[in-house]
Amino acid sequence: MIILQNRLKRLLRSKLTLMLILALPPLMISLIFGLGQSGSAAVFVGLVDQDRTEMTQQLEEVLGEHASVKKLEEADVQGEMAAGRIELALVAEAGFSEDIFGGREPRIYSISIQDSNLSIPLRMTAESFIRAARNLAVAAEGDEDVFYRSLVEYRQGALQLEVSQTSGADRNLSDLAIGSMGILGLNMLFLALHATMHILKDRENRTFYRVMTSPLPQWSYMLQSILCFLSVLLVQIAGVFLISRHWLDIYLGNNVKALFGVMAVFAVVCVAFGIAVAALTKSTRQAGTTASLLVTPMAMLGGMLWPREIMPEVLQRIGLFLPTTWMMKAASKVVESGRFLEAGWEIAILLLFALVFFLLGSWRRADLVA
Amino acid sequence: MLLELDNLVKRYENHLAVDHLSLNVREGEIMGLLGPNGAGKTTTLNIITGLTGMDHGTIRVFGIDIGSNGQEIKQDIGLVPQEIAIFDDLTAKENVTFFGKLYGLRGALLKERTREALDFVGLGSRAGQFPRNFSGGMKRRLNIACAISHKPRLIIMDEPTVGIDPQSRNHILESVRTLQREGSTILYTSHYMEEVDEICTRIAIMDQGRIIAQGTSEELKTMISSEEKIEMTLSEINYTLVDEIKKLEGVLECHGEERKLTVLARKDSGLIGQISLIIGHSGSEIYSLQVDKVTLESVFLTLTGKSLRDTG
Repeated sequence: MIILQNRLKRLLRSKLTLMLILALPPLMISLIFGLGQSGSAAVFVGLVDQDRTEMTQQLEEVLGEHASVKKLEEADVQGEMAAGRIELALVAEAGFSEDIFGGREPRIYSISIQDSNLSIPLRMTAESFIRAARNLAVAAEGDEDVFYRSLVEYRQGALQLEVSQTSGADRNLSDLAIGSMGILGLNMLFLALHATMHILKDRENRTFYRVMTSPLPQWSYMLQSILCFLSVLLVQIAGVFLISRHWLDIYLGNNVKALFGVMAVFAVVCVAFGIAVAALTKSTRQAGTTASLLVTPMAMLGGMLWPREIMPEVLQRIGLFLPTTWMMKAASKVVESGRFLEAGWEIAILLLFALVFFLLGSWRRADLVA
Repeated sequence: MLLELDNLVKRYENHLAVDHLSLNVREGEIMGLLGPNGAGKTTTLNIITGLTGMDHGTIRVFGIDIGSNGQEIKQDIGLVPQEIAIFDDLTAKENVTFFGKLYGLRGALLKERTREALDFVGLGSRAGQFPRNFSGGMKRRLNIACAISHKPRLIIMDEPTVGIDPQSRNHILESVRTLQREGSTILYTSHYMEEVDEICTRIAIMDQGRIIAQGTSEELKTMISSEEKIEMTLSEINYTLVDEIKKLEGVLECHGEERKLTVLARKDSGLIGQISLIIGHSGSEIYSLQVDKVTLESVFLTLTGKSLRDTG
């Protein structure tokens, strides 16, 4: 494992590599999905109270525990939102309280430009409170005193209402998890190319040829290099998963191991892609240009930066010829279903891509020095 | 024989890089492969070390055919490539350690050999430094250290002194002699005739992919000992002048470039007077005149009709 050790030592000495491995993906996820901002003071929610009852007052207090609540008229909502002064608006229509007392679906709706990690928890808090209120109303059997007492006790925590997510995870949270995997996948592609460029650097500084004059066979050199690049990518995935879950508080589906499995398969594809680029280009400069020309379009067409569905059909069809598309499809299926084998077909296609890239990468010139 | 090359042929499309080359290297000698750039020296070395395939021929190292036991043979070969092949992002010690490990050295022996190799090339005090901060000569010496830590029986050195200062060059040449004294056999390529003449026990002169002569320095010089080399600096040289001199009885070769005229003639042919006369008739003036003793340069000039220094 001499080559593996040597490569790891050299890769991990580079600050750029360390940044690409652990710092950049979480940073991009934070920036793109607006995460990493904590504290309720930074989040503003607009409340249009057309019901004006104690129930809506309680709702305002509940929201106030998590964000700054701005009382608005319905006509002002659009302007406030467009100006970025509120993340989310809740409109409680007249009859809201009556509906809750009656155990019916209450007349309330939310408005947001795009769900983010800031607006989703607030909406869930409101939904959770309303759902609890409806349950308490049913239990109170129309007695308002009992109902409000129970509601106060609920808010104080005497009554525990636990909302657990199983396979039917919230759609927006799943989208966030899948989007994060897109950003991670894009970074993996860049990291794989950066790492495999070491093969080209070794050719440029002639050490490759010197190693080839030693008793080490060429297949061993390549295998150890591949294992090194793969380990670096697996460390990146593990690191980003840990940071995402415990620091950025991103929901990664209810089977993180399965999602890790999908990303590990994609790591193999990334390394194979890097090896192919290193084999088919002649210099680090040429490889760098090739990478820039290939990786970003691959990420865009594969749905790593935005949902594939918003693209024209022809682009979606082109995307089917890219591994990034199948990685995103596999990640979606695993996040939504929680089962690795649910993405069996996508995984098989990804492995096929890896095989093709490895074959391209293993194409050898008759003379090493030619 | 430690190394036997028999009838090697290597062709790159229409270019014949190695043309039916045969060469034997005896154990314990420093065999110099002398020739201008493009003569086929590096290609020959690449074939021996397995970096390039050959179209025809056989190679036996330590009596073993490399076609059947290439990996085993490589264990006892050390290559000092023409280009500096070291990792800039590893320290000098880490570089030597890495290459030592490739040849199976481990543990205390690896540490000892690494230290010995670095001390041998005079870099012991700089073991912990990165080569990116080294001078060209120091990098060349580290290049050598990486090739010798496993104490190979055969050391192949491809132009190890290109582009370095005289002090580092002398250090390297002395190192080559020491390695030979310690029992290694060295195949040394260069286009610097002085250093080949200085350190090699035998020399093979190579041009256009072929060995055109081989033997000790003295044997090669004896080949043309009946000749003398006359070098003149003139006010001007023209083709008519060179042609007129070539026509003189006893002139073997005449070569003019810029204002320098080189004439290779049969010894004691008394041509200087006639040559001076022709120069005078052409209207040119003689600024300096020197009759040289026979060198490898004149051997090469005689054998190939061109100057080693100019083509190199």
